[in-house]
Amino acid sequence: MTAKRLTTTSINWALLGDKMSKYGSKGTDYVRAFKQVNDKHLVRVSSLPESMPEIDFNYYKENVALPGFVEKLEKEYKALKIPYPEDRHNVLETISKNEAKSKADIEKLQKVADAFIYQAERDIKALSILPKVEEMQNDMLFEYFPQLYNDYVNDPQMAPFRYFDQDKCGDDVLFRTQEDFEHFVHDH
Amino acid sequence: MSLSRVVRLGINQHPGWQRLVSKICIPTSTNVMSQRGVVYDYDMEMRRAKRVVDEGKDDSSDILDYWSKLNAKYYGEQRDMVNYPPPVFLEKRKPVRMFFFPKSLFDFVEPKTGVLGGYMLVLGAINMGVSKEFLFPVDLAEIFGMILVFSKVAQLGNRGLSRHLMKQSDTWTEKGYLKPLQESKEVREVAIQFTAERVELERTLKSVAIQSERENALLQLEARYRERLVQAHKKVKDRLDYQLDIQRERQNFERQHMINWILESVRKGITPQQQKDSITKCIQDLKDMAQKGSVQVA
Repeated sequence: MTAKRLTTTSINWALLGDKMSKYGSKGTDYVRAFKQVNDKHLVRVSSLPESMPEIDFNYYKENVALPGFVEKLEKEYKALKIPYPEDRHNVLETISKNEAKSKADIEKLQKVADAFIYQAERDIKALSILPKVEEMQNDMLFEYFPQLYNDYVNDPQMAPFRYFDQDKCGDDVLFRTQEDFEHFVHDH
Repeated sequence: MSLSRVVRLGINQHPGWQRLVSKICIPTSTNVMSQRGVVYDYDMEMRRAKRVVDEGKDDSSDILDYWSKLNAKYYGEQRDMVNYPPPVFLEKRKPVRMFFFPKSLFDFVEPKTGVLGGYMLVLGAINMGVSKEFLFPVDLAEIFGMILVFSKVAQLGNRGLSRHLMKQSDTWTEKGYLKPLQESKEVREVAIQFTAERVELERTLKSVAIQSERENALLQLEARYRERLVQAHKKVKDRLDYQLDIQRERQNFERQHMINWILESVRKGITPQQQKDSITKCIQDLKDMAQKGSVQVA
């Protein structure tokens, strides 16, 4: 017997269903689809006997008249060894490969999520160290939020100060925002 | 909230102050400035995080460091907070007496001079200046009159106008500054929670999928093995049963054949004379019974 024999499932479907139930019917359907396939195989296994069924050879010895026939069969039947089926298409190996791959994927996702959460937490912390709004002066606002003010020296704006009135409009994009587009539609 | 931070910040002087609502948010390179409210592009932030992991470089602006430096500049150790506290805009006029005499002056001189000391100090100083000819006020009466009139007008106008301005500026501060900042904080908190949950979910589902696949494969092997066991059992049992069946059939056939043979031999042994005799005997028996007149039924 080469492979490990498996007769029951070790997946806690109820716990998984509870976990997924907060994602609505989509989550529970997902679990159910998995469970149905698993159950199909499980039922097929449990309907068959686990080991070689016994034969009452004594009864046949008494009743079969052919001399030596039952004894020969009994000897052969007791010596019979059924080979465990081999995994000829290397399914288990493929599954192991997939598992390693998915584990690597998850590790990468975890790293990306960590980087994401790190940045988001830094942003939240930054928001919490802003000075009080009562103490914010004009010069402070300019320094804390420089994007609120136009840079008239390096980036002079043409009247009437809309994006598509500027010289640079059209170099890369025609409309920078929805608002620019609405201005354009209003004028033409 | 004190009188309009927005008024003081000069946002209301901007040609499109509503446009600024969206600009008050964290100016990271990946932030999308939209016309209405703060847009937090989750996918774009995730792409940025992926770039950080893949290429090892962070291209987002480090706003925490930037604002920390500014905080150190405005609230650091070098700042003299005792003598130069951060200026606070007053919500109301400073209290006065008699329209324009500042109340702080009275509080200052009251311990020495009494309640009217403040008036006496100011008016007495002017009086002394005039009498000693330090001052040559040609239009003192007009000055006093104008001060009285303007202070009263300011006092009256302040009530309506400042109330209106304060209300408006509070709205602007709320909509244009505090709300966008609060929203960009909340959206990040939600994004953190969502991301953590998403990773956890992915981990659970992938592991379950793999485990389920492996179990299905192993269960199929087990089922095949059990089917082979059943098959072998059935083959052996069939052979034994075949022997039993053959014996039984042979016995049945022999018995049937013997019965048939005996019956046939007996039938062959009966001659026509014997048949005739037996029928005659039967008729005779019937006649005897009829003469007796009754039939005893056993």
